[in-house]
Amino acid sequence: MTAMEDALRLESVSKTYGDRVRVAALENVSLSLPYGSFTAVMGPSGSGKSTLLNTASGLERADTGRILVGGQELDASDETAATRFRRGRIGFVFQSFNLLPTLTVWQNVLLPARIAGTSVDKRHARRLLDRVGLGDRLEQRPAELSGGQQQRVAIARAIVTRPALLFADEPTGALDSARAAEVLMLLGESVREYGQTVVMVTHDPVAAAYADRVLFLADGRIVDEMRAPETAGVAARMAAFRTGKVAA
Amino acid sequence: MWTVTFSTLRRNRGVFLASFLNLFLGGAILTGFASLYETSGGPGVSAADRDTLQTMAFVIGGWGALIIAFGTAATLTLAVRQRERQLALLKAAGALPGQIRRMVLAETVTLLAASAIPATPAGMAVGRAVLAALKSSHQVSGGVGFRFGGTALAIGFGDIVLAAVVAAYVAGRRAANQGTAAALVSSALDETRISRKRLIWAGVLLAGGVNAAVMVATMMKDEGYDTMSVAGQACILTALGLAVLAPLLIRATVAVLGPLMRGTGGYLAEAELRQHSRQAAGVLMPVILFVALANGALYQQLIQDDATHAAHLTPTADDKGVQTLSFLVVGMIALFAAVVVANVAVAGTLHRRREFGQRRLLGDTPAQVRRSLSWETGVVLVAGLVFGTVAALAGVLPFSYAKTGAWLPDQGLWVFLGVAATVSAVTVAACLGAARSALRTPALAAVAA
Repeated sequence: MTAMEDALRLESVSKTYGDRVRVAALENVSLSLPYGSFTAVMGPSGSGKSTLLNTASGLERADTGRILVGGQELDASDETAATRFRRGRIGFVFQSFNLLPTLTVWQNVLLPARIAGTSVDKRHARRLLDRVGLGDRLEQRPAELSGGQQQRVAIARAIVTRPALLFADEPTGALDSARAAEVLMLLGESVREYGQTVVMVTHDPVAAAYADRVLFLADGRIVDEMRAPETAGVAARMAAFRTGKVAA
Repeated sequence: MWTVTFSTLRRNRGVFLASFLNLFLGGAILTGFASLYETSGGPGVSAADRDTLQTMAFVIGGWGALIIAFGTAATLTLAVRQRERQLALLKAAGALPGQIRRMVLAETVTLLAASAIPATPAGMAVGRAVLAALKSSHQVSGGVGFRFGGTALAIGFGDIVLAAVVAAYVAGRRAANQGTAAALVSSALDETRISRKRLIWAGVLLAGGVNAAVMVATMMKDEGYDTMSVAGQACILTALGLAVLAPLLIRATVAVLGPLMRGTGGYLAEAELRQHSRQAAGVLMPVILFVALANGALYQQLIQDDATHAAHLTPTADDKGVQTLSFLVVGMIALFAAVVVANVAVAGTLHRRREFGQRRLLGDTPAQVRRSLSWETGVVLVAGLVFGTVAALAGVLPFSYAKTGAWLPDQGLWVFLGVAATVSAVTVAACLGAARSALRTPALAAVAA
């Protein structure tokens, strides 16, 4: 498999925080994710999972290493360059939704394309909103929706431009388990139906079980992975890390 | 609760520094004019001198009082509104509505006390300067001794304290009574409808302005400087009436400029102004006051000067004295209005750090955020110049008619252009300067905050 065929490829990416006390958030991480894959990234807090997502998407700059999205090297030299790179290539779903309160559902979904100055397939956007069950809420504003509904709008917004990659940082962190299941199924369908590539950070074994591969992070390194994960298996693996750490 | 008060004052240094500056300037100007009243009551002051000093204190100090009370209330209300979320967190942690109200009041009292310390000597300097100007133009005899004491402080700070405490009470009650859950939803939208109370206030102020304008054009044709003072009231009252309607004026301006905005990167600016018209209205209010007051007072003075020349009279020392004074007063009150504009614009923009962060995460480059903010600022300025000029004309047109028989003054546009340039420079510098600072925070950190 060549780099061109990977939706995302990280080559020896490192990132440290802090000036006086250096804390390694990512240490020499390499990975490649093929198109159409659904990957969960797990690990205890402070393991670097959010940093992995943020550097891979250009929201934060890596200290060393190369990041390739769809075979193109990410240029994160400054915010403008990183933003232009991200547009159309990377969609992002946040734990806190990040919908703009002044815009309607419909305007929020069309916003990234509008910002990028690209045309958007309005029929596709309409179908997508029907698909996430919000076809009759187009003119409402985020404050009038429940958390689960807001997150579904955010997912529609993230995939409407058909980006190569969809990153989701704890997308179910603010939702109850029923709403969380809806959101996770939606992410799974975007992989199967639209061929989307999804990378999701989560600390919830139930959420991770929706993915077809789980990467385990500890102290900024990928320490393990699991294919076709199940909730119980993931939970056991996480527990093992915890006790393993205590023993070490 | 005092511990919380002091720690919030420290934490929100920027917002409170702005309020502090406001209270300080207002206090200095008002105690300065109030000291003229106190001076007039001194031993050995002749009846004529007493009259002049009291007119100065009441007429000019009176306008100032109105504008300063308004500006103070606007700044303090903003300071509380910006912390609605923070106050809601306190409530979520168990603070009672009464405690929130008391806390907001305690903050205001602390600020008032702190600003009174430097405002007192500054007010003394203002009073001395005005008295010196009055003496040098022979409006007051040279022997009048300056007095500055309890009366000056009571009148001067009385106005500010009243405005500040009323504002703190209203804003505090609002924050205290709002549902905790509702306030914690950061996406809460403004109430877009204008309240009846606001409409009634606007109606009363505008009616007062029109009344003063009609009086100038009809009954007060030959009343000398009183004509000028009533024409000034026409400006101020009309400007205040329009300022009260500011959210409405913002939406009206957006409705006109909307198509132009959408085509040129102002799409989000349009939505923001429509949905959060109150935020923008906070900046618009002092802009209207600044434009109306500066244009109104300066054009009236120019018309008066030209009328004196036209009547082939050499300007007397009194004429010159009045001219100096009117520039001095306009200067001070305009400075105050400019500080309010800058304060509100900076605080309002910094407050939007999170929203800018969200937009950057969605693909807005910092340059795009700045462009969109420039549109918002532009709309506020257009509205401020249009409606501020309308208010200025409410005084200038009848005054010109009363003095020259022509409604339209022929003093040229230079003063107007100068005023427009000044207010634009202050507003743009405040907004874009604050945006630059807000954009320096990485987008992720800005959203997490």
